[in-house]
Amino acid sequence: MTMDKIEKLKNLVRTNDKTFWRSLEEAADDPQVQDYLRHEFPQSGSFWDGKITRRSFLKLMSAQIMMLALAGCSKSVEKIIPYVKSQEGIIPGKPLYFATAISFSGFARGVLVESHMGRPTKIEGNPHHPDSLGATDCITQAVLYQLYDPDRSRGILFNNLPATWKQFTDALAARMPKLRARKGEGLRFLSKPIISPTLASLREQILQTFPSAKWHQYSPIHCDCSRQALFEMYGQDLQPVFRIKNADVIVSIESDFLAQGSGALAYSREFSQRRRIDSQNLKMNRLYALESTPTLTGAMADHRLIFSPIEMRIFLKSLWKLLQNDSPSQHNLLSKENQRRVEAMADDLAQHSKKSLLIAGAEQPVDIQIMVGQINHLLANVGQTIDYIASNEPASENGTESIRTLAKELHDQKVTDLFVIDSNPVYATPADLQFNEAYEKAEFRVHMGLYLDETAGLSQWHIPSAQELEAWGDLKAFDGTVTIRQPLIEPLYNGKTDYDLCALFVDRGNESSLEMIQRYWSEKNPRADFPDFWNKTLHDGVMEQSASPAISLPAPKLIKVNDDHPVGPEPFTLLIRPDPHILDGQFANNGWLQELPKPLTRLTWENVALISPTFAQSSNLTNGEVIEISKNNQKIQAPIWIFPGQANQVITIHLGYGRRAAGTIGNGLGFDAFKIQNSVSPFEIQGVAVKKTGTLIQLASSQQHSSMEGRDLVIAADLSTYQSQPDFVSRTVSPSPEKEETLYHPKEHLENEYQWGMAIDLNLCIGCNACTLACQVENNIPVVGKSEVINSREMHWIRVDRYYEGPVENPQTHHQPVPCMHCENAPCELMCPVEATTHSQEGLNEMTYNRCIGTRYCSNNCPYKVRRFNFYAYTQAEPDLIRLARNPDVTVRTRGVMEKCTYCVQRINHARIEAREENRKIRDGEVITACQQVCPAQAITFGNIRDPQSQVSKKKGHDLHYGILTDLGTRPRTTYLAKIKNPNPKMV
Amino acid sequence: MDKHEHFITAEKPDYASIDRSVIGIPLEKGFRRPWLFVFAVAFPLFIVLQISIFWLFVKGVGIWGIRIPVGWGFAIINFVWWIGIGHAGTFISAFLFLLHQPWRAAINRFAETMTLFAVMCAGMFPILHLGRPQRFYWMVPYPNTMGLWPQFRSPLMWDIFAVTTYFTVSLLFWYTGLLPDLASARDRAQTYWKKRIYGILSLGWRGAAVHWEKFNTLYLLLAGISTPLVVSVHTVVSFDFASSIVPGWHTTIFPPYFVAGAIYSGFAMVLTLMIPVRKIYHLESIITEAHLDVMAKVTLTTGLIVGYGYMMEMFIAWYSGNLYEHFLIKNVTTGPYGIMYWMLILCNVIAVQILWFPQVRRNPVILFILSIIFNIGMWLERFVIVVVSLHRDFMPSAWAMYYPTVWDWSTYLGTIGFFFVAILIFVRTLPMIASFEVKELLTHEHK
Repeated sequence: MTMDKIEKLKNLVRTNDKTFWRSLEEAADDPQVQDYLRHEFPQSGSFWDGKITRRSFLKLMSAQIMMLALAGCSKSVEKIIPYVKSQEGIIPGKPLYFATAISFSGFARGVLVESHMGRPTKIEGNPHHPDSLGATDCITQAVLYQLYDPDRSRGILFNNLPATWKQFTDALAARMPKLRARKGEGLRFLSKPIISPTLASLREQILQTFPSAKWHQYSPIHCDCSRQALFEMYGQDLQPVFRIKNADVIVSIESDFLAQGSGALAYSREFSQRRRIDSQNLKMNRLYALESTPTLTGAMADHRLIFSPIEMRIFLKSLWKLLQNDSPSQHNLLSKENQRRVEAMADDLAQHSKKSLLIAGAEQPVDIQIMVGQINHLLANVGQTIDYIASNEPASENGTESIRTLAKELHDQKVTDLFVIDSNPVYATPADLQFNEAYEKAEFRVHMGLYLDETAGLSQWHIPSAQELEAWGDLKAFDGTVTIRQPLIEPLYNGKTDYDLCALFVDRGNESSLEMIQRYWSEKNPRADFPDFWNKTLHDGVMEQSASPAISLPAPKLIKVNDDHPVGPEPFTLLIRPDPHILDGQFANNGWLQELPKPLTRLTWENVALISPTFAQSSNLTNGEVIEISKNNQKIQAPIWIFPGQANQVITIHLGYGRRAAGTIGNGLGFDAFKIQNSVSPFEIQGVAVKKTGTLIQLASSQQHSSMEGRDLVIAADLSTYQSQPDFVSRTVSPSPEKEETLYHPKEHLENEYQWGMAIDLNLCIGCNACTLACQVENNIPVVGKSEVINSREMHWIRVDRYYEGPVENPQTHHQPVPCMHCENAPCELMCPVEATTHSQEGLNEMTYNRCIGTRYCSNNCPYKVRRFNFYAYTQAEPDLIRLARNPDVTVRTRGVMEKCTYCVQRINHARIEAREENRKIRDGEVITACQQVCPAQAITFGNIRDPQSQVSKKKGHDLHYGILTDLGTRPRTTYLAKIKNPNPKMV
Repeated sequence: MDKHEHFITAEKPDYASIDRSVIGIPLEKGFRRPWLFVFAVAFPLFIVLQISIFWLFVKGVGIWGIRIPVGWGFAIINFVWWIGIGHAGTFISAFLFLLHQPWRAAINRFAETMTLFAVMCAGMFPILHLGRPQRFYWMVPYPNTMGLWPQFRSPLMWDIFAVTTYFTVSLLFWYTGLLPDLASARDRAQTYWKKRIYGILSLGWRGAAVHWEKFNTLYLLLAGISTPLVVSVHTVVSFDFASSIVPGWHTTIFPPYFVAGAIYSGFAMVLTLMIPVRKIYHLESIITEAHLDVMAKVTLTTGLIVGYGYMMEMFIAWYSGNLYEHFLIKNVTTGPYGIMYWMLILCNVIAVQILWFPQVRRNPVILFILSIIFNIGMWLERFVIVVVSLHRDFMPSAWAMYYPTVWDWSTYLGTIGFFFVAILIFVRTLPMIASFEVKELLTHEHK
């Protein structure tokens, strides 16, 4: 107590009536003093001064006991390790990249996964991998979303009740003696096509142990017909690898080889290399596309010919006959127009023997595949533009046959033990197999998968599988190159791998997947330096010289293709295709993929029945009107979408929708196309009936207008035009205002040593959307949902616009990726009242999210409409787990602020820091934007436009270079290179 | 002074009768039936406004129909509409005062009050439409720790100045004009509280000669200050559009055309309100048919200017030879919102021609109906400007349709509710006619 306080106390005491007091303590007992003390020292004044009654005592005690009990509720104690000594190689804030692979149906794609402090945040392409070459596609990137999908199954279930791995292995062990005794009679496995050599060897071992067991490989997306055709011709189990770069003339028959399936990234890279031109190099390849339903490959074609499947067969046969110098008997079945075309095409191909290539789509029937194979042989393309290698998959087995056999055996109750590995046959099988009924006839049903899907619901045991980024594996690419898949993260939900499951059957349950894979490869490669070899393989993401060699083949057996044709037009042909983004439905619960506009239709969150404009007009159908498509007694109801370029009388539908147990995102979207699929002809159904239902549903298209309205947005011309007038682009584009009146320093923005700019080559862009998704992942762009897409509020910072030109029956299709233009004279900047959008010294148009108050005037005044607004709290609405996928280098935007492309400013800054540390300038090509990095066609170039030697400066000096809407005086930094087509003069 | 006569009365009232009929209204007890009826409609709408704003703040502007590319929707349409309505008051009070138009005396108070409430309604929208309304004050230049000024090149920033200045000056002008009448109310008030409240509000006005002298000087000065504001506010509001590059906005004709449109809609709204009030409170002797006639003439004049504006807008768009402007004409007239354009032409260009007939101008019922049509027309005009220009601008790939949601409508109707509630309360609490100015007119006549 300080002296003055004691004085105060004394004074207080003196005023008291009490005359005697013995000590200060006694005085302190006085209520007045007490009051004083309580005010003076409040922290010590809060002692218990109430009377304790029996009731309040009990209340207090019970509260105390409750708190004690609660304290005991925490999890069991686990050891944590303090971050005192940093782990080697991990620097907080610096990502690490690991090479691994993602598996698809029949092939794998090598990738590099960016990991921040042990948390995978982005999947990039692996430059060393033959099917990536540094690029990725949408689905590969979206596998990251799947990793963090909150709807993934989180534990082992037995009859829908939680169980353990031990319980499962015990249950399996209990069945083993019986199975062994029966030699595996009734034991069946169902998996996707196996592309893992280790798994294939495990399969062999299992089938040796259980000789009567069967292993079925099935995927709704398969190349059965191609394999069968090659087998019939060459007597071997083969798969083709195309050498697109060697081909001068390519004919695609209903094939989307640039955008889908195995090797697509490599093919589009090679294709783009043959399309890159300037006034010195005027050589381009030529692509013919014969299709009934438009594809991205068809959109790139110099000639896109529309045929119904029947016409296609006739045309192809004519072509074959012409190339054999045979008089084609079916020539007269073709129209005059087509006769001229087939002759011109045959001419072109004959002139380019050894340098031409015919590719048939995976869904094409065997006879088409045979014709294509024969023509390729006839033109001596084999070994030049096409190599045949041994099939990736073990056992030559037709997947559709296989699943049909399985279904039949199930129906006949010949199957007792069924193990379904990473497949969903209850949903994803043709309706005629009635798999859902058949499935339950097996006695012991085990499902292993990522989700509690339709099949899991009918299984006794469900085992969560480890996701691609959680598991070890060895996977083959389209050319047989092996990549070791390494896990980036511990399985989030204790998922198991297919290796783990198989090991149980051959008494290797104590081996981990890694040990099994290592053992397989060390046995196959007995070398002293195996550990080094292994490490190098892991590091590079490809195993050295593991690509399957081209098999030199004798002349194929000449197979006569049936000459008679079904005459008389069947009313409608229904084509069934895998969805371009969610495939057979395995990615149905993937928000990124659902919201990504589908190629060409720009639809999201839905599948539709694509019909031709002629049919729509004649039946008076509008977009979104629901029709009923039926064949025999199978029928589906689907909303229609009028698809310019679709063959008349042909309807196309996509698989993967109408899921009942996909998860919160994927359930109930679209319709289930499997319900009309049949296992005899899974991709093409002749003679379906179509009926109007009268209902109309709203479809979420991200682009509602397809005409350029005479504006110079995409500039396209023929090669001959470019040859005769190399400056045609500058003559076409409306000029920028000659003089700009300004009070400011006119070159104010051009003074800094770095001036960023981008050039997008429309001649190369295939419209695959990979850039859109890359940007979404890189920049933490939220998924907004179907209703918000209908409200035109999707958030993608770079969109791929699609325009049609010419007749609606067979238009020219143009793609145009549109990120922010970073105008030097940006209309948006002028309008912001709070300076939330400003220009940087390096020419970036920057958004300061924290400053934005959301007037949206910038967006109104943006002629390119690249700005995106957070109408709701989109980012806060995302599930917690998905937030783990976010890039820590990019701010997450809140409700009510504007956002847009930043030219990946975080990557620019990263490069700047690196350069500064090394005391040098940022090198050309050092800053790679997310969209640029993934582009398989390398259509996007980014860099410093002030450096005349930079790649982007060279592009901007190109004859074909132009900017869009430059007549407004915006001076965009993102500019384009015009599109050039190389048509056959004889065919025009 | 024949000219003045029919602006006052048919039965030549004396000062007392004017006081009785004008000052008597706020002092009377109870509510008249029509008043209650309108209140019963307006008040629930006012509640709807509050609910709409609450939900807006909870969820965000996503509850409205705005989207990319139509970043502005009902909020901005309503803002411009209300601000336009808020033009009549100052025009009548200040502009006509300077021009010595004595007929303004009977309607100026009402028009000014209407202006204040309309500007309040208008002022709500620019704040509500923000993505982050809690940060609206960042548009105001004030010294702050962020060390940042607003962006002075942005027309939205000019708006802040224009609207707040307009509101402040209008409020002062209105209150100054109220002083003598507040004193009259104080003098006639019977109850304790009324005496006290009117007493405080009248700021000690005794009607002394020195008061009148100072009053007249101040009133003249304020009228002088207000007059340019009549032109400036809507000019600045038009800059919100004209200074952008959007086809349909980027037009030099906007400032005069907006001002004319504003006065047109303002007069229409005065008619909409005055005609029933005049009837309910039996003010036919003060607000005569001659007043209606003059107001209708002003409406006709400004309506014709607006019509000329439409014509020139289209002509220049065509004459420019600009691809985007050409498309705009096509889209405005025959696009998906073409019906809106033709309805606006019907309301603002064709319907207004009826006012050429003197019989119509003096017929309260027809005028009342027409005034509502004009206000609908002006709302449609703003819809066409804001939405139709934005929904299809430069990049066809980004084109989209705009559909208002239920919250767009509820907010809009809610402000109408607020406006009427405010007007009704004003009618019952303050003298709605400048009685001293009417008396002045009478004096002139007695001379």
